[in-house]
Amino acid sequence: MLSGWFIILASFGYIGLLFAIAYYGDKRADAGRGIINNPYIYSLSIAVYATSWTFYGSVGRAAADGLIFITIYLGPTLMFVAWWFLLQKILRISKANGITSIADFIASRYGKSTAIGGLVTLIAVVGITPYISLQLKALSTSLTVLLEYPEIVMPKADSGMPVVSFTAFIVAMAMAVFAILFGTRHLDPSEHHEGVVAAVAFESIVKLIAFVSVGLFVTFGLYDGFGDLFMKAAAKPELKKLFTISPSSNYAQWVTLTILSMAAILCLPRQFHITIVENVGTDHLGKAVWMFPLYLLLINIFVLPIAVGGLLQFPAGNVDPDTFVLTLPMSTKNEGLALLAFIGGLSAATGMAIISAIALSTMICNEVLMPALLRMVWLRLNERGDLTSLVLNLRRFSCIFVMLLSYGYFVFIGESYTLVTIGLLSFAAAAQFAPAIIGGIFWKGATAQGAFAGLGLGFVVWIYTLLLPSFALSGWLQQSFIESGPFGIELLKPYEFLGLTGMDNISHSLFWSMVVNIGSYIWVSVNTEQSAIERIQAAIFVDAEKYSGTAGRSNLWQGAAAVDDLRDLLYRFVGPYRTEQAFKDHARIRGLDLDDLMAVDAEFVGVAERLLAGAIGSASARVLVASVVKGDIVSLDEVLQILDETSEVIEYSHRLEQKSSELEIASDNLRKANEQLQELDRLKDDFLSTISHELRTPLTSIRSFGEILFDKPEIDLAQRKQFLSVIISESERLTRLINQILDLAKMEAGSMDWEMSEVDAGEAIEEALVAMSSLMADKSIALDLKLPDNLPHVFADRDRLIQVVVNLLSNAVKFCSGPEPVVKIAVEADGDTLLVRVVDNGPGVPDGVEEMIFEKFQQVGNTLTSKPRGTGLGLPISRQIVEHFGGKIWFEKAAEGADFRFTLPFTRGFQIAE
Amino acid sequence: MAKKITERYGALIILAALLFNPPIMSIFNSTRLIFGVPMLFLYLFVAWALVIGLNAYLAKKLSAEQLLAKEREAGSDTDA
Repeated sequence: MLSGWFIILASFGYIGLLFAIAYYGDKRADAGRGIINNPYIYSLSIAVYATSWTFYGSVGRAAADGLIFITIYLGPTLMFVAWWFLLQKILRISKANGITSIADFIASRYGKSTAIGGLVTLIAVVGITPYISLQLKALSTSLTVLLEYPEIVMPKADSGMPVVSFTAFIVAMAMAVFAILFGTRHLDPSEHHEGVVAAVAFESIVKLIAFVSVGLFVTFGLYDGFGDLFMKAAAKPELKKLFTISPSSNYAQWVTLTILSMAAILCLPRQFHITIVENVGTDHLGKAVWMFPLYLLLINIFVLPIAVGGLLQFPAGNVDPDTFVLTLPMSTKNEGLALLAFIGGLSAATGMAIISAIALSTMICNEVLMPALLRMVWLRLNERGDLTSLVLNLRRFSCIFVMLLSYGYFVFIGESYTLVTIGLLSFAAAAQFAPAIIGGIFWKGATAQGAFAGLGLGFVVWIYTLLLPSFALSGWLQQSFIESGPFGIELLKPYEFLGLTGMDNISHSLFWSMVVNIGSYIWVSVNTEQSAIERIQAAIFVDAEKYSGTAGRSNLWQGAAAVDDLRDLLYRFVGPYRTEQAFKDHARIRGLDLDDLMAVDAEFVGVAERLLAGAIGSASARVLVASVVKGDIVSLDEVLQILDETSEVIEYSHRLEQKSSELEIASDNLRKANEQLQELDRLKDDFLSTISHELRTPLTSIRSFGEILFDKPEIDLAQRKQFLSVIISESERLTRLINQILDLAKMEAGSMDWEMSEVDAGEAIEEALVAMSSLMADKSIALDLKLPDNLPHVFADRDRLIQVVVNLLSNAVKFCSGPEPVVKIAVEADGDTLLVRVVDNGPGVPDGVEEMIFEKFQQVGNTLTSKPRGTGLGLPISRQIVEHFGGKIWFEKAAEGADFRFTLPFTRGFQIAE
Repeated sequence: MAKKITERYGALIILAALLFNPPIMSIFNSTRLIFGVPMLFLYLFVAWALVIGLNAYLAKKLSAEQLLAKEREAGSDTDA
C-alpha cells in the first residue's frame, strides 16, 4: 500500500487540503465572519514554533544528549510566563502603530529608520534561510526514508535521489505558491491573513496528533508502558545516561539554550508575525500564554520515550535517530502510522516555511525594496497610478526569492548538518534582535546609531563564529579555517575566539555576539544624540501605557495636505475602498464633512500615514506622506508638548472622578472652616467692643469723680474721701482688668511663665481662704469647708492655683444671696485626681449658658445696663490655668445656687492610700 | 490591581527560572527511576505543568479582574 506514488499523492492531497482550509478561512474573513477570532486558533497558530526540528530533530537530540532538547521548549514557556512584561507591551505598541513585521517594529522604534529596517531584514533573511532549508531537508530525508519502505535505509549524503530532490523543490515551490496565494492576496493595512492562520492552526493539530500517536505506539505498542520501556533502557549504561544531564559541560549549555530559545520565541520573524502581527484580539494573548506552553509540553512528552525506544529497537546504530519517528512505525510494518508520521512532519515543515516566507517577504518588500524604489526619483513612482499591484508583486517575488534561496542552501550545504545545529544557527541570528527590541521598549535613551551598531556588529560576530564555520564544515571554505584560524592565527579561531575554550559552538557564538551586540548598543547609544523623530518614537514605545489610545494619533506633521493628494496616495497603495472607509470613519469621529474638505490637518495626515504604514511599513509610509504634506515635520519641542498635553488630559480624565469626590470633601471642609472663621470674627468683634466697654466704665467713673473734685473745691472732706476711694477702687479694678487681659493673652499665646512644682493643694486652698476671709466676713457669709488631711500633692504653679480658687470664691461671694448666705468648699480625692467644689446658694446660672460663662467677658445678665459685678475674665483665666495643669473646670447643675468644680491630677507616683 | 498582578507575575517568573535551572534541577539529576520513569524526566514535566497551571491561574484571575473593572467602569458611567 505504501508505494511511492501513494506517498506523493497523499502529500499533495494534504497540501491541497491546506489550500482548501486557507481558502475557506479567507472567504469567511471576507464575509466578516472570521474563523480565527478566538484564543484557541491563536494559540495553535503560535505552535508554528514546533517545526520539523521539533518533530524529527528533538528525538535525534535526545538520543545523543538526553534531556537537554527540552530547553528549546522551556525557554518559550518562560517567555510566555513573562508575557505581562514583554509580549503584552510589544503587542500593544504594534497594534497602536500598525506594525507589519519585526523589522518594521525595530525600525519604527528607532525613528522609522530605513537603514535599520534594511539591516534587520538582511539579518533575518541570512539567518532564517538555513532554517527554512532545514525544513526542506527534513522533508526530503523523511520522504527518502519512507520511499524505501519496507526496507529501512538511511539516505546517503552524496547520493541524493533525483526524485527526492525534485520533490523537495516542488514542495518548496508549492509553499511559495501557498504564501503568494494567501499571504499576498491583497494589501491589508492590518496585515492579517486569516486563511493562512487557519491552515497553520490546522497543521498544529495534525503534527501534535501524529507525534503523540507515534509516542503512544512506541510506549504502549512496542513496550508495555513507560515503566517497561525505561526499565529496559536503564539496563544499558549508554542509554541510562540519557536520563540525566552530565553536569560538567551541559549545565552551561542548558542555560545558554534556555536563554536562546527565550529570545527566539520573541525574535524569530515568523513568531513575531504570528504572535503580534496576525493577532486579531489583544485579549487572546491572555489565554495563549498558558495554552501554547501546554501544547509544547504535550508534544514533548514522548520525545525521550521515542528516542530510547528507537535506540533499543535499532541497537546497531545504522538508523539515524533523526528518523526514529518515521522508522519505528516502519520497522513494525505499521503503514498507516508511518504515513501519519510523515504527514505530521510535512505539517511541521510547511507551516514554518509558509509563515516564514510571508514574514520575510513582507520585510523584504516594505523595508528594502519599497524604500529603495521610492528613492529612485527617475522611476517617478510617486506619479504612477495604482501601486497596490506593484507592492503585491514585489512581495510575490520576495516569497519566491526566499524559497529559492532556502532551496539553494538546502542543495549546497544542508546535507552535512544535523537538524538541531541548523536550527540553533538561526536562533542565534534571531537573538541579535533581542537587545534592540527589549532595550527599545524600556530604555528611552537608546539611539538609532546604537541599535544599528549593536545589530550590525552582533550579526558580524554571528557570521564569523557560526555561519562561516558551517560553510567550512560543508567544504565551501578550507577546513583549516576552523582548526587553526584564518591565516593560521590561533587567536581568531572561529570556535575559540580570543582563546575562549570550553564552550560549545552555540554558547561560544552567543556569548561573543551578545557581548559585542549589547556592548556597542549601549556604548554608541550613550555617546550619540537622538534626532527629533527618534525621541518621539522612543517616547511612544517606552511609555506605551501612558500614550495608549493616543499613540500615533500624535500629530507629527505640521501644516496641511490637500485631501486629494492624500487620497491619491492612499488609493495607489491600499485601494479606494479602504481609503474611503478610513477617511469616513475619521471624519465622523472628528465631525468633519468630507465633501467640503479641501485640505486636511495634521491629525488627518497621521491617520493616513498609519493606514499606509500598515500596508507598506512605517519607513516607506513616512517617505511617501512627506511627499504630499506641505510643511515640515513639527519640531521636537512641539511634538513632545503635544504628547505631554495629550497624556496629561488622559491622566486628568482618569483622575477626574476621584478628584470630584475629593473636591466635595474639601468644599465641605471649607464651608465648615468658613463658618468657624465667621464665628471667630464675630467673637473678635465682640471681644473688642466688650473690652473697650469694660475699660471705659472704670475710666469714666474715675474721670467724672476727678472732674467733680477739680471743679468743686468746696466739697467737704468726708465726701471728698468717698470720691477718692471710688477713684482708687476703680483704678484697682482697671489695673486688675488690664492684668487679667495680659495674663489671658499670655496664656493664649503660650508665653506665660509657669512655675510648676509639687504643690500641697489643701494648703493652697487654705491660703486662698485666708485672702478672702475678710471679704466674706464683711458680707457675713458662712463657710462650709471639707478639706481632708494628707491629700496627695498636685503638680501645679502654686500662685496660679490660689488665683483659681480666689476667682471661684469671689464669684461665689458675689452671687451669694438669701438670708443665710453660705459658701461651701469641698475637696476630695477622686481616683487619681483631686476634685475641688465651690458651691454657693445664689441664683445659679441660667440654663443654656453653662459653657458661655467660661468665655471672655461673658457675664450673666446684661453688662450694658446693669453694673458689672466682675471683669468677666475670671472664669476664662481659671479655665486656662486648670487646663494647663492637666485638669478640667466646669459648671455642674445644682438644685439651687451654683456649683463650680475643677479637677487636678495628682503627681505621678502619689496615691491616695499613702 | 495592576500592581498586584505585576508582583504575582514577577514571583512566578522567579519560581519558573529557579525550577528550570541548576542548582534546583541538579537535585533531580539522577538515573533513578521513580514510578518507572527517570527522575529528572518526571521532575521536569511536573514542574513544567505546575508553571503552566500557575500561569493559567493568574491569567484567569487577571481576566476576571479586568472584566470586573470594566463593569465597574461601565457602572460608574451610568451613575454619572
